[in-house]
Amino acid sequence: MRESNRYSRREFLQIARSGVATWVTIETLRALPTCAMLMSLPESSKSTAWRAFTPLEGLTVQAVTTEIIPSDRDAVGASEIKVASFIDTLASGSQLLKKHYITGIISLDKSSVATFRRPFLELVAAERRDVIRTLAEDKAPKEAWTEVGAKEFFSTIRYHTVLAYYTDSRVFSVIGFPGPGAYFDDVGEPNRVPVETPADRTEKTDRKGV
Amino acid sequence: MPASNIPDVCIIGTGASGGIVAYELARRGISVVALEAGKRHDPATFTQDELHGLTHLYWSEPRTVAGAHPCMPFGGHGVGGGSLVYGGACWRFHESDFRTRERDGVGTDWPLTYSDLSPYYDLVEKEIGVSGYSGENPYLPKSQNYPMPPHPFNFASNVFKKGCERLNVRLLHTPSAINSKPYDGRPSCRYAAYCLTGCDWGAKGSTLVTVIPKAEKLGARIIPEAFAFRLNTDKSGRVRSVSYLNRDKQEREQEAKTFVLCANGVETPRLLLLSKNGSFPDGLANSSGLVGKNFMSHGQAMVYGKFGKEVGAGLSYKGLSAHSDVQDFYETNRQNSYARGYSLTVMAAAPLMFLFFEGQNATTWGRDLKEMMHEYPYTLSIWVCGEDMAQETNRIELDPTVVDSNGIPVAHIVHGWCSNDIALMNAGIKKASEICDAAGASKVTSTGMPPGLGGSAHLLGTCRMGVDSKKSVVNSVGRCHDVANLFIADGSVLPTPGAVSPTLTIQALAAHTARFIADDARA
Repeated sequence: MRESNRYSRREFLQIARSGVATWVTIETLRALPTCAMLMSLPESSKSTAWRAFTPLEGLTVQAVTTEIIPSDRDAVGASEIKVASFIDTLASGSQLLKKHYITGIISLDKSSVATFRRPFLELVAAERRDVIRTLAEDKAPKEAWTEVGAKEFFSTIRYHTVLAYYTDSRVFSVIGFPGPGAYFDDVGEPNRVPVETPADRTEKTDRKGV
Repeated sequence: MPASNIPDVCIIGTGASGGIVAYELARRGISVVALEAGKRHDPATFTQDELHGLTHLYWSEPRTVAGAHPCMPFGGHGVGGGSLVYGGACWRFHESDFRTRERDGVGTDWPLTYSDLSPYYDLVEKEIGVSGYSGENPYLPKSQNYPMPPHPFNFASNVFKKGCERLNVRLLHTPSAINSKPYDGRPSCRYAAYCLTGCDWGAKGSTLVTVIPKAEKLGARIIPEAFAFRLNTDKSGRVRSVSYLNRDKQEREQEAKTFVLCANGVETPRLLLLSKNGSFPDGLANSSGLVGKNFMSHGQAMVYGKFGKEVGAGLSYKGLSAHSDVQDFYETNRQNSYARGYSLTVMAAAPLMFLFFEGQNATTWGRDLKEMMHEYPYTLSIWVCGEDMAQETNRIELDPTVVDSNGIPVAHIVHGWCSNDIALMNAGIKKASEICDAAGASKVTSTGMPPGLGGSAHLLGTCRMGVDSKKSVVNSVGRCHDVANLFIADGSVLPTPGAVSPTLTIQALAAHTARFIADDARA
């Protein structure tokens, strides 16, 4: 309905100034990028050039999204789908969302230093997961998360990661979803030709002992 | 504007109910203009792309939430409104829903009965095209004749049915505004589970593709991208006009003899509260103080039954968004610790919606998330929908500080479940889990309750109907007690929510209201 990027920024600032509950703010953050700002996203929104983030910030976002949806046996994770670039594009359309992410990244590093004495990007994967787990479970050091809530930051980045990842056609075969254009005249039966996933192929290979 | 050019009726909102009102009035010779805040979407642009659907068809303005269990409203946006993005489920309410106080000692009795509404259910089922199993539901007082036969059970329903049969539970075909055969110039469904992105195939009977084009052929005028922000009254206390912002953000005014609000349970009370003036200092039509109060959204949770690959792929994505349902636990059972009940619905959804069913509070990530989605084709999704109790503390207010893109205060929603809501929902989750187990699921999980889904498109009760003007906002035909030429015909008038998707009942009430307005105009 709206030509709303401009207004969204204003809304975000108004919300930030208003001092409404953090939960409220974060839900608004989660709603607006999907429903208003994405309307104007170009097809090339998953490009690699950083728009809102510095390279270091961008790599940090990428590192978190890579753990939220890792590349494993199917070799298609958030990293391959360039989810971090997608989030960067979102953040470039909203000062408040950008601020939310940048503040969250700073807090993430503080959290990381408090636990492992190194910033997040210097951690190994298992340590990164330990830090992220504290965000998801709302058990991160409170002193590191004074401007944005740890769980709120996690919820935002998880939401955007899921949004970008599970709407990408490359992912459909990973999860065994036929995707657009699949129609079923045998709706009562299992799918006659289930999509073969990378995991299926791995299992076949394992069975053959290759 | 010369009096001769003033339309008989101005409708605010062209969604599930507004479309019905427009057509019912237009076909009775009433001149109609309808304002719609969103765009007019070309159905040809609907795609099987969830990102596109989510970004184009859903309400995008901010709302703020608070309370013990915050509930974030969501829904469709544009001509057709929520009917663009709903699953098409078209259940009728049970007879008991209209008499919960009398029968069960909870809730509020409606000022009309099932019998009063029954002819309007019949009417709407024909107008939007509902497929269903006539006479199958034993909980309705008389069998109705659906204009189309039911959809066959999908794969997930057939699996769930095995569990139902083992526990002696009845599984019903969900009545649906989705064609099971070609109907009214639209094709039959292809069961691709993209119901929530507009339906690119045209099988779903949104008001955009059913009653609204018919209303326009009869002379109704739809004005999209017209955001109504204030109702203006005259000295006698009647509504004279509505002020709105057009697509260029310019303020405009639309006069009419009668006004009908069809903006649903959040935006309708918001507009009334925004319309306060010297004569109506607490908001228009609000002498009862109940505008915005008693917000209901249904207790909602998901139960997931995980099945092995040997069962076959497609449990999650073949079929209608709402394909079959259980209503055996809908009514009050004196042996329960709670009043009223719940329904269980077998769902089908493309991946993003499947994930959204996890709710606002989902925290699954990493390998757990990937494993969950690797099981997606083999996961049975059951939606538990419970009747929530009206509480005045659950309410819509104007946010004192947050404004929308037009600088207008947004709706602030305060919400918390009562103990009956929680007990009822936990019983529903337990029952759905038992059925999944009985069907052979290897693992069963749920969103739990609370938090449940943490969001809802069922926005009800905030301008409830009733006989007593001190205890309700509108009367039995939707006319505001305080303002003679102002009607409300959307989810906000429901005194109780039932335990099923309310859309068909809202549409039947809208047809009922339209009939009264037309008869009144003739008189």
